[in-house]
Amino acid sequence: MGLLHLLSYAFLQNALAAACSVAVCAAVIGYFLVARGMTFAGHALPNIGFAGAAGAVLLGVSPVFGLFCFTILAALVFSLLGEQVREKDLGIGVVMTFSLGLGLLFLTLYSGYAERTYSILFGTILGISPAEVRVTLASSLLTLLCIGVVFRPLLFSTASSESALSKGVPVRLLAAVFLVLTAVTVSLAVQVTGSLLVFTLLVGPAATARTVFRRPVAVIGLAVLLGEVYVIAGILLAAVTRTLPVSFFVATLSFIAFVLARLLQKGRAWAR
Amino acid sequence: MPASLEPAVSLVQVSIRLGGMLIQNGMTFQLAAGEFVAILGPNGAGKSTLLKMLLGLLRASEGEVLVLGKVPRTGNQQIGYLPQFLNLDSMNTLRARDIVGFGLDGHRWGLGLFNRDREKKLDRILDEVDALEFSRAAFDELSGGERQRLLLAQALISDPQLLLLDEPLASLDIAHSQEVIALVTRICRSRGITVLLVTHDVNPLIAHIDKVLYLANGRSALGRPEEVITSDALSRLYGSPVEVVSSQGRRFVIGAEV
Amino acid sequence: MGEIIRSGIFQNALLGGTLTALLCAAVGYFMVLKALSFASEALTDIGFAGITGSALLGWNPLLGMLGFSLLAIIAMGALRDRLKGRDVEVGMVLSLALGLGVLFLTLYAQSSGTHASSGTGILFGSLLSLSGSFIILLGVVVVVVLAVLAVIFRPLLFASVDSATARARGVPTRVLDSVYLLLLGVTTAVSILSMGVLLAFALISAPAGAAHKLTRHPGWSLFVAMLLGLGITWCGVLVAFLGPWKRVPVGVYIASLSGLVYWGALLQARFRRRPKREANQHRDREIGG
Repeated sequence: MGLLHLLSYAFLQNALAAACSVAVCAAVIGYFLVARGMTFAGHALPNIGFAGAAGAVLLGVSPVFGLFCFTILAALVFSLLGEQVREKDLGIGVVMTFSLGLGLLFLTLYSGYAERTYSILFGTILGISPAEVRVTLASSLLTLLCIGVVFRPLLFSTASSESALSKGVPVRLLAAVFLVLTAVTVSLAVQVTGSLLVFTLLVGPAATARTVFRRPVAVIGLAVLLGEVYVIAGILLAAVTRTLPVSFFVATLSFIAFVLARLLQKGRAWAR
Repeated sequence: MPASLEPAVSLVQVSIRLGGMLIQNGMTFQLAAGEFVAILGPNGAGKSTLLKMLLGLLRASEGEVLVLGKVPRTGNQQIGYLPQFLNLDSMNTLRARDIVGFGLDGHRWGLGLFNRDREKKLDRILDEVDALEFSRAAFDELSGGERQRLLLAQALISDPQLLLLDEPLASLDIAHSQEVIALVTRICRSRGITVLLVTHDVNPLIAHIDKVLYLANGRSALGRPEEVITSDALSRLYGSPVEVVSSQGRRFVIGAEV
Repeated sequence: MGEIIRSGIFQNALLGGTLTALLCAAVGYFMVLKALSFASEALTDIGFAGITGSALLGWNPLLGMLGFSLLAIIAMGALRDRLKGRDVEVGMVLSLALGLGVLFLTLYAQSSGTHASSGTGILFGSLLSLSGSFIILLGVVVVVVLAVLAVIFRPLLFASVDSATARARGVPTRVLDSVYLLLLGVTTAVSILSMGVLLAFALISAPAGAAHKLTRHPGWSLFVAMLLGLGITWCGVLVAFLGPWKRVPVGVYIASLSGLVYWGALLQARFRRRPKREANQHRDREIGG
């Protein structure tokens, strides 16, 4: 069968392995992003990551390294700024455009810029190297472990920060840790969907799952399932069509599922 | 349950400063264990601040504060807290049980595996506050009174000796308000714990409380309602003429912000 | 250097940039006031899908983009009141538009035998290659939009700040909002053409955002926004032409400078009002007691 034949290719196996592990992290982190009202991070951090990746390319270093550095740095800066981010829409938009501009500056100074730009912006999971797969798997595992450890206090402080604080939960520290974990997940996701469409994998599944379930474990479970479906379908379709990027499929599936879920939700409310 | 001899709360010459302003000066009083105390006073007088100080969230600028015989610190499982503002907006799809469960182990690391004892403990506390029937409902499906009952359960589940409630009646209508007051009174007496309740209107509570702690104008006064909520006492506190009219067991303050 | 300054390309770029900056600052002023930042961002991405889609279908890209944007604006107008706090929904639409844009871009490149990466011109703009006829068109558009804004300035301001009272006083808030959205759509299209899809948002948001932080007075605020926009654009064009790096699109400099200007204004606002704000903050927290 055509599919089995496809799956025997190493590049496809690599892409699937990496993408599937990233999808799990994205679902878990995405749940908390939506719950904490921080989905804007899903727009800002990837763009900052783009600037980092571009800078790395200019310096002749691995782009993934640049991604990690810039996004984690940005996460720490955001944590320091704390709750004083009012008018965040505008601020986030400015950060996004600034980072994009910076990234493009780095890339234009580098000779093969057009292709590199495109690949970082829209993703190149199909070209991922075995070494990068190992890094991705290890990072995903580490991230999931960390989330597991902070899960309960994070949930508590998300639901009721003052109560949590009085019970001894280190609310501010957890917020910072969470942002760093988000930065790591974003960096990983950029490899799958490219920096422009991270939102669809990071926030999409969790936002969709939230319309169906209420309990955190159930929401996260469904989000993981959805995310996996998006990336697997995306990779297979991209491999078959050979020119369309994975990110397009992920974005489209994510959007369709979200719209359907919301319509169902409205329908349910209407029927009551 | 016998009340211990040690005071639940003890303040000696405590001053509270916030943003450069002196909110309270030279507060000295003790609250005995098992007492039901209402904390009254105008906005900005330091009611919420006092609670936060007892929780270890804020430090006094001067003086000595002892809570249950020890210096205040966060993470004291002996104190149950119901804060004034909740940021439950995006989390109120959680079940009632889950929210109450936070009071038990929300601060513990890890995922928290299913535990039969934990479920039994939850059931017991939910039963105590008469919330067992809707324990599996989502928080946003419940009425204001039901929510306060659950948050009370959350504060109680760690078996505290001291319960701090910051304006729990503020957003409730009269019926729910009385429901919550009856519940709090029952809990206070049956468990023998000390309860501090911040409120703006003492009248719904006046028949149930032991003492009133009145904060105003940088000063404080502690005593039974009929001692503290009088024209003389309040005029001294506010530093300007205040009249208190009592009628049918209720007291109304005129001439000052409450 | 004098040669460069006298060249047609430079002058066109400067003129084009000036017109774009003035337009974006004026329209951006209201965008910030109305807290439409996120939706405006989405508009640029929808414009991207519009351009690439119409290029693929063989239509005039400009008209295609305007058409798509118009549809988006109508939708935005219909959902006006429900846009606030809908970060997730707007984000999904934004991402969909980008996803479609990628698709169209890739398909278009396929059909024309080049790699999709050659489409980065759309993404990052072409202020440097504006033709004389486009400049004239741009000039007309700017004059018209600014004239319309001048006429509706006061009622629009009123409606944006306090729509309930404005309506009570007889201001046609719905009409004004729709007119404004149209202006925003046109401005977005213009900005996309000069700065590219990804950076179009910079000139609309940053100068106006900074101006709002620097002064509260509406008239001055608008003036400052235009001034900042002009300054940023001129610096950008000058550096692009006279600076050391030749291949860098002007949009990049403009976006970077915009960011710096905005954050400068933010910092300045923080330090200026710090003492009073702290005391008030604690006051507000104490409202509970």
